[in-house]
Amino acid sequence: MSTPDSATSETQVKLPQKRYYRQRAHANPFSDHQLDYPTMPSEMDWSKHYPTYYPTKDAKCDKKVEFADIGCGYGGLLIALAPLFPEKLMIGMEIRLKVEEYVYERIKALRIQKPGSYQNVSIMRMNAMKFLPNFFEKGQLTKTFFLFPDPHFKARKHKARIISTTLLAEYAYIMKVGGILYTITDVRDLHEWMVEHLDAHPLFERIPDAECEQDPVVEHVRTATEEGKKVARNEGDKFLACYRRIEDPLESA
Amino acid sequence: MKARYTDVVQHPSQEHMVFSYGQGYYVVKTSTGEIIKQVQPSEENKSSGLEHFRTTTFSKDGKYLATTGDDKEIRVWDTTNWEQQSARPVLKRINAMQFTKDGSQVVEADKFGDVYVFPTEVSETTAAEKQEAMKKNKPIVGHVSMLTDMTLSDDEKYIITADRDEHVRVSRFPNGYNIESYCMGHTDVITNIQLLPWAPNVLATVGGDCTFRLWDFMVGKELHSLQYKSHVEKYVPEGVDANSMDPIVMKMELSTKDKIAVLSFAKAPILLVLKWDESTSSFEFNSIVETSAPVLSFGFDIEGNIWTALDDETRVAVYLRKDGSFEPTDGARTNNINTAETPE
Repeated sequence: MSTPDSATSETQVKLPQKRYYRQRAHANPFSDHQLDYPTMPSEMDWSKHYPTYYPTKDAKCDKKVEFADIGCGYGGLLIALAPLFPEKLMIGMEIRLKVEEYVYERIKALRIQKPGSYQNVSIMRMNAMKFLPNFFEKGQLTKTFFLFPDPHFKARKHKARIISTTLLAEYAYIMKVGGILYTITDVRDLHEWMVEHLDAHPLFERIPDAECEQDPVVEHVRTATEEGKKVARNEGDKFLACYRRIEDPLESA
Repeated sequence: MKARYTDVVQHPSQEHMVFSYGQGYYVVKTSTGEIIKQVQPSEENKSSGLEHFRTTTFSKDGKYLATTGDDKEIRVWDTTNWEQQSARPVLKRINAMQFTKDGSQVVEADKFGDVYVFPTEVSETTAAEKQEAMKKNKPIVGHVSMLTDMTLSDDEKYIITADRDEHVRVSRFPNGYNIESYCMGHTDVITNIQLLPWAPNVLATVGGDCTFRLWDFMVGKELHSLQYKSHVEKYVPEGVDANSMDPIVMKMELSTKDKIAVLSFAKAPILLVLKWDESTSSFEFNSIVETSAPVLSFGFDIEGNIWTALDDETRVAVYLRKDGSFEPTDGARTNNINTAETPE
């Protein structure tokens, strides 16, 4: 896969059009998707994503990915955050092929349009429910985002929801103590589900809404994504809940 | 045709071995081959066509035997008289289970990816009460993948779980929501994991990628990896698994007596013997034991001999431990178990 950075001189740099990249919203996270993933984090070739920081696979670089948008869709949040946190590496994970291709092309075009910018943002096609520990070390991430996740309305599909008790253990593992997990949805039932599960998980503590509003990222969580804009157009509600990764209360005693 | 024995498990301290054949099990006194007991669920407990005894495990003191199968029931047996003490339902089929050291709890890993802890003593009496208790019990650990094996650490502060997607996860026990580390490196399904009895901070793992790996599991560091493909591949028939051409491990057992590891493989008529080298703190290839038919299960008896359950008319064959190798024996010791009736 050529890096988003390589330019072909004859190509007019246009942003890709979403209508060529539509894919149905639901993908089954339990089926085998023929995904490409490293055996362990140290084996990951980040040069495909951040060539400025990792010119080669084995290049020594102090920077590690710190922000992950799980189910990043069309990449709206990351593209908004990239210029705000130019020193932080961030990645989107998206299971749907066409959507990932769109974001990849978008980042590629942005890197050419604005030289020197958007070198810190990338996307991968990945099943975040299964393979996060293959990419990220313990305590690596300082921000994780779960924006407008698939609600999987039917009771029998609840196990496919991206926030669940068992998955929260994995998210807690890859997050640094003090890191922040952001959730937002327009589906009240899903919001209540996520809050219930996060409240019940001993390694996450709710950040009071007032404190959330102080976070410069929150505004983008609300408005930067496709889904967020669609909800606003339809005058829907947006339910935000942010959590801090904390120490195990059982171990700190 | 008699049903095959599909699971072999040895008592931790007495010379008893349990041979399961789907609908029941036999308890054999290994020094003589005498059958102590035949056990089958009673008629009303039985659901036809299902294998009740796929996975069996003794408690650490040998006082209890827990069995489970496709009927999704966990039965606990008193090993002094081989009477069923209790039966309770589980949500999904269990792939691995283990008693805690004090025998008070059973830890169960299921095919859906969840681990549950239940008390050994079942206080509920009616089916409805048992269903209630089952539903109320929430998993302590969960993978988004089928769990293939599980073990508690020696000090029971950690629980180690292995899955179909190459992950070996180390979590705190019983606070499984806190993941300690991952042992990453295998490139195919992991089928068996076990702590070295003589070095319990070291974990041995095997599966479908033809490597036998050792780990300092608490920090997820690989200590050693042994490639054994060249020793076994000629014995494994082609196309044994739709997903892989490589031999896949069925069972791994460690013997403290000889400090060896023995592996059996799906549809292969062999046992692979690896020997521990004290000077390098790793295992090396020792030998191949050729059997007359694919090995369905096996176990070490109290003397360190290997009892194998084979997929042919012989059914059970014993290999005697002799000067660092294993020799086949005549059928005297296995006569009883092999002529025993095993109704389907």
